[in-house]
Amino acid sequence: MKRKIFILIGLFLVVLFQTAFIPIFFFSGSSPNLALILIVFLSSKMRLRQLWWYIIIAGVLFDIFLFFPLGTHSVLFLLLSLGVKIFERKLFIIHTTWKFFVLAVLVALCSVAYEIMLPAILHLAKHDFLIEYRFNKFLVYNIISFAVLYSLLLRIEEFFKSYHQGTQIKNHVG
Amino acid sequence: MYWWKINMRNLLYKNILQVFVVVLIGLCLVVLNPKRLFSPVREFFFDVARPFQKTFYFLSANIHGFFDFIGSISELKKENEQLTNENNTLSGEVASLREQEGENKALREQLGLIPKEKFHLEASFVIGQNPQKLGSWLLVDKGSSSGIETGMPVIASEGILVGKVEEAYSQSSRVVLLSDSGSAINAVDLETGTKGIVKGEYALGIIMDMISQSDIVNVGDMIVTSGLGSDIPQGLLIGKVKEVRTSKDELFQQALIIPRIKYSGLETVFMIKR
Repeated sequence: MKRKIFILIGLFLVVLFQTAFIPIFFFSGSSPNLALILIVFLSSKMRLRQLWWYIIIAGVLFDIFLFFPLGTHSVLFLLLSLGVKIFERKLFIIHTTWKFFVLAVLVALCSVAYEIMLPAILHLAKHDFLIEYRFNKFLVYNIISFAVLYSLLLRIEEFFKSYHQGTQIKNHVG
Repeated sequence: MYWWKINMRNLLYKNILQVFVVVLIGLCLVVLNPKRLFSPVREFFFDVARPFQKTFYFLSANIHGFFDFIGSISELKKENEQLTNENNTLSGEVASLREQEGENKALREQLGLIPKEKFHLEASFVIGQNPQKLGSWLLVDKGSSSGIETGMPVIASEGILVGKVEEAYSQSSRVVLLSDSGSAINAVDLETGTKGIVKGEYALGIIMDMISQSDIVNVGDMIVTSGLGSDIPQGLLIGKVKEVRTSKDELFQQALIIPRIKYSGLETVFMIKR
């Protein structure tokens, strides 16, 4: 339960960080998408069954704070997570160095897919969004952000692992 | 082994099926887009998030300011010399501007522009921006509880128009900037009196469109709001003409406008109340 609350608060803060902290450092029209990076990372570490409520909630929060029609990012993040799962089965190599590069490639692929799918979904909803091509910057920003955040994400993962082991031992002893 | 494989495949198909059901529900929501239904949900989240957003925004502004300052240290000596020279020139100009002040007042009266003091302003802090399309919208910390309504013009200091209120919640509002592709405001060239519509160019800049071919617009001219057909009062400064070109269909002229301020660096804005 504690873990779930921790992840939910984390997602909430990541989305707020995305809208209130990051934009001021980027003047060029786009900024890295931290929620997308987090979802790619979590999708590679957790089962889809464990993850999908978090993905839906992250999507809803994203839509609320970025003024998108509700449901847009839940759909997008779910599809991307499913894509990561399918790729992961075929691509993943356990070695830590390769893991980083495979994840970086997944972040890049998901960024491109995101940029293609978002205008398409909004077009479907007949909202007046024009398809803009800004893959280069968005992609580069996301990969750099992922590289910067990778060690932090691994630490969070380790924290959860040790916490999970701790609760398992407690339950066993209990 | 065979049964295990079939079980795994079934599990994967089940997962994919579940995801597609949720995706379908999500797409239905997007298509229907029941804004009013979810408005209270949005409002609740904005209320909870406001203190965090404020803190994050000020923190980022301060950090950005600090790095800007560090970056400018090397240029301080050069800048100091420049400023001393500029100061000398400006002292001379002050005298002539005092004369022009009276003239300006008279001209404002003749043009029917509202003096800035007459606006009923509501100061507000910027607490968020669109991170995906910078220059598209801002989130400010005042809403309907402070008398803010949809359509109200938003200005920065010195009467420079920034955009208008698109959505007003109880404690916060979304301000669509002039550079957003959905923004359109009637404007006039202060020097030549040429009229047109100021539009955003997909959050990348501002253009004055629908200027007839016979009208005159010069590079360097000031563009202000004309006050026609909207709640936006006339005489609010929009920016300066950078370039004049012919529209793609060659029916009209277009003027590329440089805004007087950087929208992405805004920290405080003022809403003009009705």
